[in-house]
Amino acid sequence: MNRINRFEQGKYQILEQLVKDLLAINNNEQQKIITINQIVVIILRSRPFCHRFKGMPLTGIYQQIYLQAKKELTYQLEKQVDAVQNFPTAQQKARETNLSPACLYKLQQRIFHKNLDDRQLKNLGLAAQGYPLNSELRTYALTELIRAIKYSGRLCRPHQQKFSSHLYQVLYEEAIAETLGYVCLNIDHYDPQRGNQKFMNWVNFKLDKSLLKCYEKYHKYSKFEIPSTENLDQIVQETNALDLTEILREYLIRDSDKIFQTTHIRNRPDANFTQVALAKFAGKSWEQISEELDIPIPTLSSFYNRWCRRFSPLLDTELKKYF
Amino acid sequence: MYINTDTKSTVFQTNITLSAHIQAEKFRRYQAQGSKAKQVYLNTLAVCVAKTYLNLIGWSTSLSQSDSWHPISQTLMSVTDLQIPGYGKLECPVVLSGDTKVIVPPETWSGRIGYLVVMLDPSLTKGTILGFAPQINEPEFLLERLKPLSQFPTYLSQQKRIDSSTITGLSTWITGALNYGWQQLDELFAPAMVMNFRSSQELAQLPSSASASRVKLVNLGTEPEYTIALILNIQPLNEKEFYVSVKVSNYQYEDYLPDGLELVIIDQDSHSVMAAQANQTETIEFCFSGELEESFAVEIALLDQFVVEKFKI
Repeated sequence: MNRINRFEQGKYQILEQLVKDLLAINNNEQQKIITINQIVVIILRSRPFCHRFKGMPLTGIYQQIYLQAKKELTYQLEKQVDAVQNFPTAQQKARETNLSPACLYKLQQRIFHKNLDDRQLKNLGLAAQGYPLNSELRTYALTELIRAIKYSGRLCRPHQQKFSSHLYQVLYEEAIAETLGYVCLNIDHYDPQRGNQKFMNWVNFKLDKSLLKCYEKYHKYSKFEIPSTENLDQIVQETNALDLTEILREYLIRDSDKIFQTTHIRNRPDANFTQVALAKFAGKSWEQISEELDIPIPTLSSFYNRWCRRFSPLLDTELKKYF
Repeated sequence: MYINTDTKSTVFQTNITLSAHIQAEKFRRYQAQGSKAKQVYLNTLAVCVAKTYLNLIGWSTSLSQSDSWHPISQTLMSVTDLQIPGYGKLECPVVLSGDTKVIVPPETWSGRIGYLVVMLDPSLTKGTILGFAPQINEPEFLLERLKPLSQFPTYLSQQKRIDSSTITGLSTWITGALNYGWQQLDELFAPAMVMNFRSSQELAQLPSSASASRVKLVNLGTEPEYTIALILNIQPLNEKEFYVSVKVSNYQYEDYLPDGLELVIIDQDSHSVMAAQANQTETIEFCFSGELEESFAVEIALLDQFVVEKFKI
């Protein structure tokens, strides 16, 4: 954390110095342009979205968004500098606060926010569609898209009046998580012609539905309280609760078709599936089982693993009635 | 909600959803033993956190194909696997705040394409993915050895896609069809050897012209890597029924199969119905009959590696 703060501080110091230099420049347009550009580039490094992919230069929509913001930031900075220089010395100090690093970063945020309209979001969505599924570029584009959606403040807050503010917060967070996951997985199904051609209509339609679905779930489990790790240790199971370990143990011991006891490690009929499973159920560690049977852990666990995989469809079918 | 999907950042943090807790509670109730119940609860949350992350970077996941989502598998093993359809399983072991190492049970050391370590906060409201490891095969792994999560999308996109959807239709072989990856026996073996690879029914009944055999070479094991010939033969028994023989041999003729190699036949309900293990064995063969359109799968396994081929008669 300290390192980050020091890094921020360093950035602020550089910016303050550059602004000071900038204000001291007289009648050197060239130098002024260069210094403003330096300041703008430093500020844009902290842009809210539109980052580079693996340090490579921006292209396409990302480049467009960046250049637009850069142009506006440059223009605003020029205007501020002119304002300071054109005022009498007494008022300059007050004006200069507009050029403080904090103000400049805020200015950047305002510009990105203002420019981020539905058209820009749609283009970010279409850019993600353009990259192959499961590619690194798809991941990059989706990350940028999600960041932009959240930054835009265009996610609706549906059905707010129906719930208490605390409950709404819980439902809303849940619905947002579901919606954003949906957007990322289904971006290929997004059709720019539908939803009045608005990208956020597509997103918000899903958010609206998710929220109601979350409420249904919440309502059904309203008595359920989320435990902490500590509480989990103290929960006492109901006495008539189902104990799958016991059910499995009995099933493996009964072994009516003799399949579990005849499945064993090569040349070791005693080290059969039932033996290993029962030892696991009894809470024995792999080290203990390994020592007792005198078989190395990798051989044991690999055998157990393979047969768990092969037996589980059978066990699922046979024990279906319990769950 | 706070989602840190910054490509520059090395962790991912998300709120744990109510749905995740509800699912964890359902699974927990199958376990009477306190520590096992807690383990199942936390494992479920970890898998949900990993799912949220993967979906947000555009990767779909299948809970129903994950052992961690099946109460039977949860009981048999301590698993936090998450299936990525077409690619394989990721394991998502749990740590709690303050832990410096992650416990990785041996039953999860193999058959994984990677490990995402998930940290849960004490109130179980937030989950953080701390980083990843391509492979773990030791019971304890220091968290400082994890690779930064920012490198994970690159790692994941480099994984090979396993196409497991191909189903080879056997009855079409009789009319001469050749499927991708399969060859005629005489293309691969000298005539004298082809005789050796005839299935036992073929030899017993004199091969009818309607019988057809194909071979596919399968590589298994690392250092040494073995090339195994999987040979299937199909013969019509009557109008509806067919004889099928499934056989494995070492491609280097007259060599034994690697000791411990297993051949398993899996029926259409996913039940393993026949299994045998090589022990100074040249070939393993299974013969059975089946009806047209009936499907089955063949698994060839060597230690932790395995390949599955799907067939339809």
